[in-house]
Order: sequence, then structure tokens, then C-alpha cells
Amino acid sequence: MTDLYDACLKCSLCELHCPVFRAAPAFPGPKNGGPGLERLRAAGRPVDETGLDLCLGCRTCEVVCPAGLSPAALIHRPKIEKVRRSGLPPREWLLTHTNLMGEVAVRMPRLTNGTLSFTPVRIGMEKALRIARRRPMPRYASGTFRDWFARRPRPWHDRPAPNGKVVYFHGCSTNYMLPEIGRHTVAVLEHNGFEVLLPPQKCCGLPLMGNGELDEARGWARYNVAQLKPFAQQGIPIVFTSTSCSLTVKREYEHLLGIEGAGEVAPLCYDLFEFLGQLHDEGRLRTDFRARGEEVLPYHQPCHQRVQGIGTPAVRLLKLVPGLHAWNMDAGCCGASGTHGFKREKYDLSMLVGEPLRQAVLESGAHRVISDCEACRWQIEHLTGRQAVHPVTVLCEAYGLL
Amino acid sequence: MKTQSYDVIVIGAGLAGLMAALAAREQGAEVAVLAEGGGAFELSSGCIDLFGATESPWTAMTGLRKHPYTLLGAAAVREAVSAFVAASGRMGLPYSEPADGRNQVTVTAVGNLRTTYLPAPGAAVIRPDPAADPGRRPVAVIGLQGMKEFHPGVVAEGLKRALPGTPVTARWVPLPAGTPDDLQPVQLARLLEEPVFRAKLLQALPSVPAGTTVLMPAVLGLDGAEAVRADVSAALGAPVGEVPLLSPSLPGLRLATRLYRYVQRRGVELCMGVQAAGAAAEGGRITTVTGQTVGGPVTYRAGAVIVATGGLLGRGLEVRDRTLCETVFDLPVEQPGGPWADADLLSVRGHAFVRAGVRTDDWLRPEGRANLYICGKLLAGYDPYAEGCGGGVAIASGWRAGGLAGGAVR
Amino acid sequence: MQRVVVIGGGATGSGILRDLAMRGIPAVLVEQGDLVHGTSSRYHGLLHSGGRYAVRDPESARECAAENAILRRIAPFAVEPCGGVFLQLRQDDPAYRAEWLAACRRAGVPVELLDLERLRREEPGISPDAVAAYRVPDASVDGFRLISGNVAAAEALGARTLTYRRVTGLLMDGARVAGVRLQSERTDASEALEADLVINAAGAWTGQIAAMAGIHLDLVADRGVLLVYHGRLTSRVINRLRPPGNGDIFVPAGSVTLLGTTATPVESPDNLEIPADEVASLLRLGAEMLPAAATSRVLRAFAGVRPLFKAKGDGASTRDLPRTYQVIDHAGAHGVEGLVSIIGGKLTTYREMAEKTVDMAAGKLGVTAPCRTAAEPILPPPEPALVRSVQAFVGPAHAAALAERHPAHLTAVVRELSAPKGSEILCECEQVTRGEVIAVARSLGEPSLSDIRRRTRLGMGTCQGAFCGYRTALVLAEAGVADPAAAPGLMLEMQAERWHGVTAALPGPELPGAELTYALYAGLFGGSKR
Repeated sequence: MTDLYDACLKCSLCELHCPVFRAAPAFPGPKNGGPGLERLRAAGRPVDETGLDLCLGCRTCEVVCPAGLSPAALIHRPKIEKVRRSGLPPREWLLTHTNLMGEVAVRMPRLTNGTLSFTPVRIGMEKALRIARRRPMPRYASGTFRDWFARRPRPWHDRPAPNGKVVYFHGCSTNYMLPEIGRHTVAVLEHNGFEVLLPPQKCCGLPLMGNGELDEARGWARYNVAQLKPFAQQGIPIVFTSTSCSLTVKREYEHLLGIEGAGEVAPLCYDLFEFLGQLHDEGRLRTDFRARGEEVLPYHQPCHQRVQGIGTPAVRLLKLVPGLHAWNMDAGCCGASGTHGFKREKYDLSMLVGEPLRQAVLESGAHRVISDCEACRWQIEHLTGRQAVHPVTVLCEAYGLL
Repeated sequence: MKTQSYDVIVIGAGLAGLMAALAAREQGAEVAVLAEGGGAFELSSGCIDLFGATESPWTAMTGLRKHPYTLLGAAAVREAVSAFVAASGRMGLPYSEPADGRNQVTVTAVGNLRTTYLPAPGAAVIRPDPAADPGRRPVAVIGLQGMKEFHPGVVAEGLKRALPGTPVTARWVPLPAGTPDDLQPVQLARLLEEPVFRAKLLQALPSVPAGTTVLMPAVLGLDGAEAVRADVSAALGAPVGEVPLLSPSLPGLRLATRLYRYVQRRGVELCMGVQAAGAAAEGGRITTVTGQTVGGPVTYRAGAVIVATGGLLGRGLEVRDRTLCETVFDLPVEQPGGPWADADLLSVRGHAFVRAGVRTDDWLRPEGRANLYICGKLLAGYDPYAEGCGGGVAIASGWRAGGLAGGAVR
Repeated sequence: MQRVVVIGGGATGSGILRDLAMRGIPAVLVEQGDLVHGTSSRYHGLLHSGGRYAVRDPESARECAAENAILRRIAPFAVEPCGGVFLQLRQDDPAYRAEWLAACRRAGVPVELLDLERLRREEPGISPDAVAAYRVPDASVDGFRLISGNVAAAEALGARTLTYRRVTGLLMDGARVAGVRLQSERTDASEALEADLVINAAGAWTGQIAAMAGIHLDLVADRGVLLVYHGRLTSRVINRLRPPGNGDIFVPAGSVTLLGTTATPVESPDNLEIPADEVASLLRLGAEMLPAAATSRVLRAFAGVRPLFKAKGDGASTRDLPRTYQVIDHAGAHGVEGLVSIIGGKLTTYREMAEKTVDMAAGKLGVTAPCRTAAEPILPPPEPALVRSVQAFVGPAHAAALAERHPAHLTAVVRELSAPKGSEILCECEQVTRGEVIAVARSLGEPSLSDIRRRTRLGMGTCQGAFCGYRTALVLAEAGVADPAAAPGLMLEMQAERWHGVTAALPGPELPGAELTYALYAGLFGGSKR
């Protein structure tokens, strides 16, 4: 991948596929907003950066560019510059430090969740902070995933696990809001003979990066790399259940943040199903699935997974489960885009962008949908009212471990 | 080390690569497509050119030499075209093969007539032969005000020259009040899928005399184009035909969207964002392909590999030191002998650099490679633009390569 | 009623027209193509500091040094004051440096030694083989803007310009030249213009004009090839610190970079062929100074013909011919009254050339007004209120660039910008608006897209007009400036012109771009020219 604008031929494939461009005429589009503006900047010309912040960071432009460019990376630069000059606004600070708030919120989930769904509070938040009130806040769990993991008995006691060790990078959403995803992941990995290791972790930092704040993100990234590197050096795989975290550690730590040592960690980072798929290829995956009825399971591929170039490993793996018919809806970006979908001025756009997905889900007739990204799942539920689950939950069911 | 295993790996997700993947899958192979980016067909008019500007492409292609069609043979080409047509029906974007096997005539945005074998669904098709169309149906060209990519008057003037005696009219229709200025075609197409916007536009459409051929720019919807066109035709009182714009052209995008979804429904693993960066071989057989992803290299084990990386646009070929090189396997490339391009941009002879590519045996394999197959633009010996055969070669060579590769590993 | 006809719409001719107008002498300029058809649009765009000529051609160096300062002052709208550097490489003759420094001092060319490490930080593309660097006041000049500025200034004072008119003969009154015969390049029309004096400022065609009066001028047409790179490889002019040769100048020009040039004598000033070996040698030589030049994307190549004359002491190669000029009153030299020729010279010194020519002309016409072309700016700076009004249509960032593009006709442009859809962007690469294009088109009557391109930069960016040429032809039809039936032809003319230059630079990184253009237009036109 290169962000040298020189290779751009103006073929317009990026513009053609960009989900924001077709929905928002105010967005200059990846072609003009990315390599187009960069060329003008390089020529010393003043450039008009209006509308660039409508970019949702889905990386579709990067995925389709035949010249290997990332217009999204070029579009992101002005935001980084702006934050370097004037810092993060209060709303952005709140949205990017969910981990800090999570520590508090899990101690009093009912109060937190109740408050965050109380209409007058949401109206106030929209007025004061421009956080869209129609966007449901994710609900905090009563206790973190890490607490659960710490308290449970060690499954392998003092024996080494038959298949070795694996590190689990759970991410903030699993820890504070969706600990069941963590529990299901641990169940699946242990069922397959792995000892799951949980080194200390900070937020991967993507929300900060997405909002242009790189320096603070670097601090968290260095911490995470320091925790993960010793395992990587021993060849212990690191699995992720959140595709935003996996993309961030796989690529952005080295490419965007320039963290030393990140390059040694990335080759050991796997999306969970990427890892399970490789196990299957090597004949090391258990396929003792419980008998079950037929279910058609539409799958939504998160944008942050698509750009990883690993195909759709969840679909591939779930095909092994008799009775399950997983298929990729391939209906475009859901529109949530992490923190952006919570912002009042981005909310309508995010719903418009997700419209084709909404239609695809409803047309499928399925009552639940799978996706590996929590933001996508929340968005699908918000768009359609249908349930959205992580594929690991389905796998856990299939093993009879739920 | 990250590894994945497949029976057949296809490198390149253009029309050739996707057809190859489908054909291999049909043989029961486990198939993955590795793609760095989109294919050129997405930018195209969505029409599939088989061969030539003459009436009968099947006859015209029999006289070719050292052409991909000569490697494939007419029977294989016919089979591939049928397979494509059948698949298109299953994807919900049905192309139809002409019953008489003759090229059809479509209209370009400058009002030129252009032959093609399989027009894109919804494309305007003209029947210029007066014997076939007695009464000389009038043609009405309707433009949408504010769209700078289409001028109905320019199309009309071109058609008047090309179809002497046919009454051709041109008019503009306003976009609904409040429509943002300076819309790009893909933006307008998406808006037309919104019922409220569409209803307003329909109100502004004139009704035309029955039997009129109506031409409009190809912005009548994206994935839901069929419904948009039906509504437009109903409002007009005559069926509407679309004229593709310069590029990118939405009918190409419509085909791409459906085809990507369809190959995945058929069980092909589509890995976008992978740059094929080398391979390992043992005794003349490729054993693995290495792909660069954001998470580092991945080794793909494969029983057969199909190279559908395209030409210069797809970056299957690139220029290094004034020589054309094949970018993944460093296969020998037949260079242009002599001047790389003709002095005349639209020379009927085409351009030597476009014809450059990799030569293969009759089984689409480069010399000395037992399980490597080439399809699409990377093949040497044809100029798709001068000859009018881009889509045809892509589909035919892709289908054949996939069948051969899939058959070989099963 | 004109007293003078000026033949040649290049730098010299336009400068003469302005000077004549300022001295109150009614004049008409005739030009066979569009303005700046000849060498003035086909060179590297360098406003010389004079350093290049200091050693071999000190008279030219002195002229350049003086005129450089003047032009920066009177034509800021056309000059990008990027500065320049003379770079000595490891493999260059070290002895030349001292000789060069001394010569620059003598010629009055300001030179300053630079800290090479600091220069490398500012210009990371410089070769690791560089051993020394000197700053000089080179600049980059937009030939078209400069000439059209001169013409606009002259027209404001009553002068006239006739483009696409070829001189087919001189009106002779015995042994006196009494005017010119013109043939339109666009229609069948021909006309005759009478004048008291004809000034032959036809650049590389000066010899052909003089021959019409039976005069032989000892001129050499010397063709040079240049390459246009996508993007700015350097932010300032880079010269090679060694005796002038091929491929030793890089000039940034807006959003592209020019690399030149070569020197090959040709028989005709219309010989604009681009030999492949000259392209290859430019790439090789350029890469010695900026290694990226070997692999960076060359958008196209083009050729220009220098008008050189064989003054006393000419050497064996055209490189050794001096770049000074000569004003010839043919009455004295050849017994032909009513004709003055200006031969040789270079764009950087055009104003002085014009001054000397008009001094002679004024003398012959009995006009005593002095020359004021150096004292007064060519164009008044655009009114701030007008520039601000542009912002209303295109935003502040864009407004400055737009105002810079149209120094002489901003009012007309603003009028078209304020029309519906006026601020619509037609050329995304160079951010050219519909309003500008319509304003320019209306002022020209029946323009080709290339005429519009020269005046707006439409199609001079990444896609080289592949997309915007199409759009613009349709917009011209829609605006009623062009006939819808003519739109396809307009597109083809632009693409054919670009193709010539693009194919000359092949093979190279522009090959995929060339294929894309070909694919687009073969699709539009059905795969063969209709």
C-alpha cells in the first residue's frame, strides 16, 4: 500500500464504491479528497478541506484501489493536524475514553445504563455535547470480562494445554459491555485445547486515532506492544474478537503510529476466526458439533476486517457446522464507523449509509445476523431491530458450550 | 506463519478472475480469490463485447491468429458465454444472448453507435437496419438538467448522423427542486432509489408517443436499477434504454456488485486487500502463493493457481526500465516489437503496448508451468478496445482457466 | 487604423505590441496559431538568473540578470519566484566551479553558496552525488500567462490581436513592405492588412517571413525535447553546475515539473518530432541530479524549436551559438523599407528585445515617446474586492488560485462564476470551474479545448484531460458556446493533441494512464474514429 498520490490514475473506482460519497454530496469523495488534494498540497496550492471529516474511515477506497493507494489515509491527515494544533474537543474526549468510563460504569451498570437511556438525559447530551440522542448507548455489563477471567478456576491446572497457549486481546467492548463474547471465546479456545492468556491491556486506541489524536494513542499502543511482544517473540498467537482492534494492532500501530516493535507483533495477530480457520487447515480444530436444526445466518463483514485481506473467515468456518448456512450479505458499510455514528452531525449520514444493509437484513428474513464487530452489531440492531451476534457465540452454541 | 489452503487460488478479482473462480467452484474445488483492488470491468459500460464491429462476432473471430480466442476455440467460448448468461440470471442481473448470434447496437454518450454482443441489462439497444424496424421508430433522448456528464443534444446530433431518416429529438428534464448542484452519476443514481425523490422526477418526465425509443443517461439506480427503470418507463409510456457515461459507468458497477456477492454465495472465498507478492514452486509446479496483507504475509497453499491480474490497469503488468514485466511470477512477457503506440489515438490497428502480455499453450499455461493458468488481459495478442473483445476474452479465458484448474485438482 | 503589424504572438511579439501601445503607436498583432503557439509555450518555463550563460555567453547572462529582476517586478502574476540552485555533482569538472563563480560576478548574476545538508533537507530528492550547491534567483514563468498579460495590456490601450491567421505573403510597394496578407487557419477567409511598418517577431519562423521579402537570414532552427513530470519533484529550479548541455534543468511549474532539454538542428521550425533516444537521454541525465526522475511518472514529452542565429564566432554545435538577439532594420541591411526583424533571443529577455525593436520602429515612424515597459507593471493587481467576490463562489482557498489564473479578465470570469452552476468544477485535477471555462470560451468565440486548456489549466493535471475534456465539451454545448454536433470533435482534438505528447514519453510510468485514456475514448467513439 502506498499513500503516494503519484500512482493515482483518476480511474474513480474509489469514488464509485465509497458509501459516503454516494450518500453525501457535501463529501468531496476519496479521489478528490485524497490523492487529489494531496497533489495540490504538494504543489503548494491552498486546498479546501471542507467536508473531509464526513469520511467514515471504512477503507472501501483502499480496498478497491487498483494502484494500491489509501485515499482514506490521506483524507485523515488534516484531522490529525487539527488535533495536534488544538487538541480534542470535550465530546471527542468522552467518546474516545470509554475505557476510563467503563471502569466506573461496570460498578454501577443499572444506574449508568438507565441514565444513558433516559430521554431527558439524552436530549441534554445532544444539546450540550451534540451526541445523537437517537443513537442507543451500548449497555455496560455488571462486571468486567477480566474480573470474570481472574476469578474462574484455571482449566488446565498445572498441565500444559495440549494445543499450547494463545493470547486473547479482548478490547474495550468485550471487557465492559459484552463480556459474554469473551466467555464464549475462552470456551471455544479451551475446547480446542488452548490455554488462554490474558496479559494486561489498554484500549487499542482506534477511537483516539479515528478522531485524530495520535500522541495519546501512541502511549496506549506502546503499552500494548510491550505486553504483547514477549508472547509474539515466543511464537504465541494473539487473537482478537473485535475487528477494529485487530486492524489497529496489525497495521496502524506500525504504519500510522510508528511504534517500535509493532512490526514483530503484527504477524502473530489473528482475527479469531482467521486463527480457527488456520487450525482447521492444519487439522487441529475440533469439529464435534451438536446436532441442530437448519438456520440461515446472514453475515455482515465489518469494514475493518475486509481491509485485512483475510476473506470472511467466520463464514468459511461456520460452514463446517451441519445445519448452519452462513453467507456474506456483502451489502456495504453499516455506517456506524465507531465513534462517528454517535455524533449528531454524522448520525443521519450513518443511517443513510447503512440503508442497503438494512434492506438486505430485512429481505433475508433471518431473525438474527452475525458480525465480528461490535459497532456493526449495534448498528444492525438499531437499523433493523433484528438481533446481531458475534460468530463466536454461534460457534459456542454449535459446540454445545453455551 | 499464517497459512491457508485451497484447491485453486485465483489472483485478481476482475471479470476474468471471477469467472475463473466460478468455473473452478463448479468443478467442486475450494477456491479463493486474492485481489489487491477492483477490476476494470467495474468502470466499463457493463456491456460484454465478444468480437468486432461487424454483425457476426462468431464468424469474425474465426479468422484470428495468435489470439486468445484461437487458443480457446469457439466451443469453449460459447460455453463460457452461456455460463456467464446463466450466472447473470441467478445473480438477478440477467443478460441475454441474441437468438441470432449477431452483435447488437448500443449508443455511446457522444451519439455514436457501438456494437456489443451482450448489452448490459437496461442498456439502450438500437436496431438501425430499416428492414428490421419498419416505420423508423422515433428516438427521444432525455437528459437530466444539472448532469454535466450527459448532453441529450450531443447524443441526438450523433444519432441523426448515424441513423439518417430517423426522427431524433432531444430534451432536458429538470431534477426535483432542492437537488444539490453538481451531482456525480453515482450520487444521482442513489437518490433515484429513494421513493420520494424518484416520484418527483417521474412527475417531470414527458410522456412520449407509443413505440418511441427513449434514451436516458445510465443513472437510473444502482442495485435497484430494475425497479427504477420500470417506474421511469411507466411514466414515459415507453421503455427506457440507458446510455453509459464516459467512466465510471454505473452498469459496470451494478455487474460488479452482484458478481462479488454471487461468487461468495457459491462458496468462493473473496479476499480483498491482498497483494500477491511471490510464489514457491517445486519441480515446475507452484505450491504456494504469498500474499501481503495488513497483518503481514500469508502463505496460501494451492493445487493450481490462476493469474487474472490484468494488464497495465490491473497492475498485472508494469514497466520497469522500459520493459514490460509480469508482476507476480515474473513470467516472460511478449514485448511490443517496434513503436509502443500508434500515432493515432483511435487507430483501427490498436496499439502494440496494449497487445503485450504473456503467451501460453492451448491450456492457458505459460511454458514450463504445469499448474499455472493465465486468463484475461494478461494474455498476449489482443487489443480489447480496437477489436471490441474485452469482456468476451475475459469471460471465455476465465471460464476455461477455472474449468481446467478445477478439473486438474479434483 | 494600424501603423504597425507585428508578426508573431509569442513573448517577443506580445512584448512589442505592449510597448507600441504604450508609446501610442496603433498596432495589430497577427499569429498563425493560438497565442504562444511557438517556442514561448514549448520551453522549460525558466526565468533565467543568467547563471547558465555566465561562462560561455556573458552578454546573454548580463541581459538575463537584469531582465530577471524587471520581470519579477512587472509580471508577478506570471512568475513563480521559486528560486534556483546550481548543483555540482561528484562527476562534474571541479575546475568549472571557480570559472563559473567568477563569470557570474562579472555578469552581475547574484550567487550564494548553500549549505548542502540543509538543501538536502529541503529538497530530499537531490542526488547523493551532489557536492556543492549555489543559490541563484531563477524563477518559473508561465509563458502563456505572461504573453496573454502583455496582449491584454496592449488591447486595453487600443491594440488588436488576430490569432489563427497565417501570414501568406507581404504586401510589397516596390521595394517597400506595405503590409501583410493573411489566411485564416480556421475558415477560408483571407485578408490584407496595410501598415507603415511590419515587425517580424516570428521567432523560429522569422526566416520564413523575411524570405517573403527576398531576404535571407542566417538562422538555425534548433529543436529541444522536454519532459513533463506529474507532481513537483523539486520546489525550486535545479541546474547542473557544468558547461551547458542536455538534460540539465528541472523547473517546477505549478503542479508539474519540467525537465529539459536537448539540442538538435532541424530543417523546419515545424519539426516537433520527439525522438525516443532524446527522451531516454533526458531520463538518464535528469536522474543524475534527481534520482527519482528515472522512475517518476512522466505525463508527456514535448518539443520546441529555438530560434538561433549564427552571429560572429559560431561554434561547431548549436549549443555554442549565442543566445543574444539582434534587431535588423532591413532598409539599411537589405534595401527593403518597412520591415524590421528581431532575431534570436530568449523569453527571459523578451522585454529588452521588444524595447530595442520598438526604439527602432518608433525612430522610423517619428514617434518620440520613451519606453516605459520596465517601469510599469504589465497588469494592475486584481482589485481586492473582486478577489473577495470570487471567494463567494469557490471558497477562500480556491479563490486565490483562480484569480491568479485570470489576471487580465477576472471581471468576466466573476460574471460567469455568478451564473447558475458557475462554480461547478469541470477539471478536478486542477480545480478549474465552469465559470472560468465559459468566460474564456466566450471571449474566444469558437475555441478548441486546447485553447481553453492553455488559458485555464484545464486538462493539465493527472488525467491530462481524459475526463475533463469530455465534460467540458458537453458543458460548452449546454452553455450555447459550441454546437452540440461539434462536441465530439472538440473532445477528439484535445485527446489527439495530448496523445502525441503522451506516446512520446512511453514506455514509462504513464503507460497505464495512456491505456485508460485509450480505453475511454475507444469506448465513446466505438473503437474507431468516425
